[in-house]
Amino acid sequence: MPFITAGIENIFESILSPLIAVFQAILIFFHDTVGIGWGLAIIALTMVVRIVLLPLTIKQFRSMQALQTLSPQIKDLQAKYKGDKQRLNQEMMKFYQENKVNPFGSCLPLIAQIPVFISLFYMLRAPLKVDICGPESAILAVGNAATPPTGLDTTYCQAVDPGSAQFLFIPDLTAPSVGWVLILLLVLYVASQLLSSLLMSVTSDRNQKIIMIALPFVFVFFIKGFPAGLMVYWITTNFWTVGQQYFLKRATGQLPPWLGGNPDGLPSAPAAVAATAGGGSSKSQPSSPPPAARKKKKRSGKRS
Amino acid sequence: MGTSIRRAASLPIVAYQRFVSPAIPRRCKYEPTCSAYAAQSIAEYGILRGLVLGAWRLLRCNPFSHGGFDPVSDQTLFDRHHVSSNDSHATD
Repeated sequence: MPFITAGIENIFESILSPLIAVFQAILIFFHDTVGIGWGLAIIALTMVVRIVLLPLTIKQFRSMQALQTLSPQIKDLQAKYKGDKQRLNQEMMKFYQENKVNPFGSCLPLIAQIPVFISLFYMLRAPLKVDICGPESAILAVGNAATPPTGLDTTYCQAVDPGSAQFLFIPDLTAPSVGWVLILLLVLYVASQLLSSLLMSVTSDRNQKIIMIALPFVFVFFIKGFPAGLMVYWITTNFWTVGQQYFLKRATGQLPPWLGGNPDGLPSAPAAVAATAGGGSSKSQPSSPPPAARKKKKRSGKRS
Repeated sequence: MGTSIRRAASLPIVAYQRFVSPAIPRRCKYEPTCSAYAAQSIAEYGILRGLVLGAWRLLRCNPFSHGGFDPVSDQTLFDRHHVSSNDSHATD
């Protein structure tokens, strides 16, 4: 029943239309006023989105640093509720709440990325296509006496204005890519996604690691039909995450050993400096992150 | 009544917990997590109220809040007597 899915798509599109308009304005600003190509404009838009989110990320990291000063009390709690994982979780969370620190990220920034992504999808598929490829693409999409109508999303810029939507090795940013271009984009996507989740991960659970590694490959089946520009966005945002995580972890001495970090988990010299500059009283305490408490433990207490 | 519909409504949440969540670092500063909270809210308060409670929790789970222990039973949006499920959770 394609008309049902089309109806749902229309609902999404109208809910997100303000966001689509904002993104479109930003892209047109980068293209027309700054004078860069559409591909670079998409990368610039990605960076704008991430820079807007940067204060949130830094706030998160500050909170994690403040936690280091409380690690003795956390150890006490871990010892006290050793046998009851759920109770330990609750007590830890109460403790964080009382001390106004929290080592975990929050859900909202993760959820907030979804409308951004969907808006980009709609924008590249239709409104921006007319900006990039020229008004002929809309005429071609509606159709005229000579040519039968084709959907705007399946109209290739090449047919209207060759080269207008080209970026690096991608012939058309507004259409799904094919052949080796698609393969190269997918490889870049999987590689950047794996790198960013490896750098973010704190888990030691084997199953979690397997899912973490498998997920980008599953995503490949969904994103291979997306407009190439959307993949440019995704790859850029992944590399941004990698870079951001690298710098923040290096500043706090939490780099994993395979990236030249200190295997003892002790903060390196720059981290100690950063800790004293930011938190004040924190000396060189072991920086082993509290998520260690989330490792699987025997579950003996029965609570539902 | 409607338990199976409620269960179906929280299927996407369960799928997220099972297949997506393990692949990313912990993204929730609350206990129970937002997804567990939403699933439990739907089970106890029905789909519409449950979704409202879950959405309100997601909005609170932002970098400016402090997180912490926040069970469904502590919610203040709806009256407790709306709880129609028979599995009464321990109110801690």
